[in-house]
Parts: sequence; C-alpha cells; structure tokens
Amino acid sequence: MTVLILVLGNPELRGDDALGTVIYEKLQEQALSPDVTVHNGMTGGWDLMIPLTDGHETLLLVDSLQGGGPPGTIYREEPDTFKPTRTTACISPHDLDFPTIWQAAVQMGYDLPKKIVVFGIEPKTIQQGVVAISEEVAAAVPKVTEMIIAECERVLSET
Amino acid sequence: MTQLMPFPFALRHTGDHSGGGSKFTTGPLDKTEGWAQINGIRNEERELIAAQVQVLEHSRSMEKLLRGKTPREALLIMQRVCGVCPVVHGIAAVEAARKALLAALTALTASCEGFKISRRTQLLELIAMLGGTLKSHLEHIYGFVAPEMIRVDSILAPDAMKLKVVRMAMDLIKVATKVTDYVTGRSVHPVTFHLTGSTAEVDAKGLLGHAACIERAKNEYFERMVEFIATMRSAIPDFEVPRRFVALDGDEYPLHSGDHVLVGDLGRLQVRDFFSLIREDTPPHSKTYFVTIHDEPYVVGAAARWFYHEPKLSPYARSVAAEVGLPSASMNPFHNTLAQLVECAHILSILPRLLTELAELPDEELPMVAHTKDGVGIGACEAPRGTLFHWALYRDGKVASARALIPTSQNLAAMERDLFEYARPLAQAGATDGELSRAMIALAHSYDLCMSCAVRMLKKEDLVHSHVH
Repeated sequence: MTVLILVLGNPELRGDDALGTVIYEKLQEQALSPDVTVHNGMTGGWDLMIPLTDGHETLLLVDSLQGGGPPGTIYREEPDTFKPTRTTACISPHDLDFPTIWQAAVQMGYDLPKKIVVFGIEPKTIQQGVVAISEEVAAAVPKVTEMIIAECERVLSET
Repeated sequence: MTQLMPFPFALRHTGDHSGGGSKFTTGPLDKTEGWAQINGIRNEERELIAAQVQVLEHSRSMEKLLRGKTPREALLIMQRVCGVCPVVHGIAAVEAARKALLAALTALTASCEGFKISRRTQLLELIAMLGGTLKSHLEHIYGFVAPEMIRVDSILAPDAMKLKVVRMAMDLIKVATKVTDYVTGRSVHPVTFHLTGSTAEVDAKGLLGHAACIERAKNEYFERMVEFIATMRSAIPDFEVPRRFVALDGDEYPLHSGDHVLVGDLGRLQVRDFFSLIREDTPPHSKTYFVTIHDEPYVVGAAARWFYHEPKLSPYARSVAAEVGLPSASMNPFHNTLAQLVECAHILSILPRLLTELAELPDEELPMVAHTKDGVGIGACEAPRGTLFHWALYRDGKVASARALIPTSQNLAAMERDLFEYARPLAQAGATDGELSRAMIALAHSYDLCMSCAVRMLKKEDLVHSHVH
C-alpha cells in the first residue's frame, strides 16, 4: 500500500491558492513513511498525470476548495471520482484542471488510486497578483497538515 | 472597416484590405500554452487576402525583471517565464552569463584556453534538455497532431483518449520527465544550474536505472508509436513553400547549446552577428514580436535542424525518418511533426549512452566566482521548438540589460505567410470559412506553437489610468 499526497495550487501569484505549497513545505519537515510520496503539483495541468499514474493505492489531494464556508474552513471529503470540467475543447495541456486530468487517465486505462481523500481549505482570495496567503488560511494550515499526517498513518496501519 | 497599418512583410502578400469583405476566426488555438487565434480576411469577392496570427496575451516584462540581478538570480528568474521549458531557459540564461563573465571565469582556471564547463556539467545539462525535448515533442505529436489525424477535436475526445499510442506516449513522457527530474533535482524550475557548473546529485545506480528505462521504452513501445504515424502519413497534406531555415551548428546533431548559427543563404554566422541581423516588430493585430531577417520570415525548430543536420542523426533515427516518409531538406511545414518524431528516435538512441558515460564520472566541487565584472554574452540553445537566444549585458557582475529571442516568435512571420499561401487556393476552390479554419488550425499545429514565453509588447491600450484630475 502506498500513498500519494498531491498538493495543488499556484505557489506564487494567486493568494490562498498557494496553501498547497505551504502545506507541502510543512510535510517536507516530517519524517513520513517511505510508502508515502509527497508531490507538489502546483499548476501542473497535464503533468499531474505523471504522479497520478504511478500506481499508488491511496490519493490524498490538497488544494484550496470553495465550499461556501467562511475563509479558513477546513474540508475533508472522500469522493469516488471527479467530474470533468472539459469535454473536448482543449486550449493547452497547462490549462487542464485536476478533474479533467483524472478522467483522461481513466479513459487512457490507467490504474488509479482506489481511495481518494480530499483536504481543502476555503480561500479568502485567489485573485491574481496576490502573493501571500491570508491569515485565515494560514491559521488552518497546521490543523490540515496534522489531519494529512494522521490520515497517512491510518491508511498505512490498515494494510 | 478599420484601416490596417502598414507592416513590413505583410503588405507583400496580403494586398489591400481596407475595403469591404469579411473576417473569420478559428477561435483560440489549442497548443502547448498561451492564447492565440488565427484570423482570415476575405474581400468582397470571397478571396482570401490576409491571414493573421493574433496573440493578445499581456507583456510579462521578464527582461526588465532581470535588471540588477546576479547571474544566479537571472537564470532562476528567467526560467520562471514558464513551467513548460524552464530547463532550456535556465541553460540559455546561464550560458549568456558564462560568456559575459568569461574573463572572470577564466581567471579561476590555469588553462590558457579559457573556462569551459566540465564534461560532467555538460552531460547533466544535455541530458536534462534531451529529456525535456523528448517530453515536449511527444506531447505535440500525440497530444495535438494524432487527434487531428483521426479527425477529432482534441486529445480529450474519447476516440483520442482510447488510442493506444496516446497511452504509450504518456508512459514515455513519464520516463523522460523522470530522467530530467533526476539530473536536475526537479524538472520544473530546477535550482541546480550555476555559473561554474551543475550541483545535481546523481549516482551510478540511479543513472543506469534511467538508462534501462529508456531502452525498455524504446524497445517495447516506441516502434508502435512510429508505426501509427507512418500508417497515418496520408493525413499529412502535401504543401511546400520555400523557407529559410535557422539552426545552431555543431559537430553533433544540435540539441544543446552552440556558438554558431546556420542561416541558409547567409551562411554560418557567429551568434552575435546573427543577432545583429534580426528585426523584431509587433504587427497591429498581435501583441507578440514577429521576427524577420531583412524583412523576410525564417523558420526554427525540428524541421530546421533536420534540414541542416540529417547526416548527424543516429542510424535508428534515420530509419524512422525513412519509415514515416520524411524527405531530406523538406520544405513542407507539416513535416515539422515528422522531424520531431525523428528527433525523439535520436534522443532515445543516444540517451542511454550519455547516462552511462555520466555514471562513470566522479562528483566534482564547483569553484566559486565573484560577480564583479562587465561583459556581454549570448546563450544560444536548441529548445524543442527551435533556437532560443538569451542576450545579457553585465555591469559590475549584475544584469544591466537583457533580451530573449524566443523560437515561437521567430516562427510567427513564416507561419502567417504559410497560412496565407496554404489557405488562399483553398478559398479560391470554394472552401467555407469553417473549412479554411480547420485547414489553418492543422497547419498552425505543425508549428507546435507555445505562446508562454514568446515576448510580448505592452501597448498603450493595455494601460488603465485612474482619474487624475
């Protein structure tokens, strides 16, 4: 059993979208099991296919998530799959979002992680040109990081 | 209708379009990155009188951001123009610095020949670039051209997704990306390039493991990927247009950096002399520089490298060229895709040998150098889409001025000319706007456009002023 922690989000230019990179850096300070891979997907687009199709059984996806709560709200979801947002119009591989990449990998016949857990934080702003994360999101980062580490330990202990 | 402003080469082939008529557009083109569309302009008799490549992305001001920066800062910043080709931008930037500060670097060595990067650094940089070029070409061939060959809209169409070669291409892209990741630390914005060499940490076991993966990929499925293109060969239009090709010269097939440029009838030039020949203009319909030589378009990229350096390719690559029907010195723009496939074959042939050679070299410590000198340098590299140039003027060891000459910018003038020459007879034969759009999109795809780093000009209409009175 191996776990892929895939963090997403623009690390520099879109405000709270950088929370993925902030959490990635916190995870780098942890002594995680060798069965855990942490990948900073940033705004990877088509390149996200690379870690996604490496044969991991569990995916922990980390990103800013607009769920309707106040900024800093933490979400933990266990979806079965992702609904693609694009059908056939493809402007650039860089432009594709994660759900579309996921469905493309399904159609290409890859074995994808069977268990998916999504950790999200409600952003305050993802406006272009904002270079720091908000106080509300920064306050949620330690808790989400703990939740991710605990999730890894739980998943690995179940095998 | 708005009077279009004169533009050097445009007037020669597009005629007067100040009267009535109509305009159609392809809408946003799918390409590696960035926003661009093609416009076609017809006169009242429905003749096609102009083809425009319209790019409306805003300036990124990368060259201005480099001012006052050290060589290390400059290469890290310049890479960040985009995450698609950061390796080649990093190498072009560091090469410009190496050439600008050559005197300071030479003082570090006892050699009267002057400073040269070590073979270890040379291999690390070359292998990184080869991995990046392989990935880029495969994305283009199987992500954009293959769907077109089977007449579907895009790689996301179910029929395209289910093509076995698309899955194979993705698997090979993974192998190539992991090679680049390994020899640079990370393939997106690597931090291991330095003025005096590379600090990437590699070992024999890792390098030989990657060599084995490349061999396996070449033997297990690349052949079938080539077969697919060969069987779909009839989908590639026959269309030739005379062109001046530009590519770096070198003893080997050029997929790294160089000091001399081949410029067709203008011969073999030093990179700085080539730089003095070119002219960059922004046409009224676009915000991207179009680059010409003596007001004439030229072409860079795989087709240009094939034109000049076919004999330097590996025997395997040349056999792939024969299998897919790529003729020597082809003047067909659509054949750029075939030339890219041939380069993939070449890279797969030579990568295992290079990784093995690197595995036998010891680690090295890099000398430090003080950045306090003046100098001008041009770093010239063969990026996937063509020759990339970074020019930098250093004063007291910091960037005083910089310019980047991007492959796609260099191809846009030729692309516009080709679009017009290709679509005009189709229009004369009665093609509808939709049919012309599809034809022009197919031709545009063969150029493997990427607008991400193509330099853009800030125009006055981009500026928003607050109320000042």
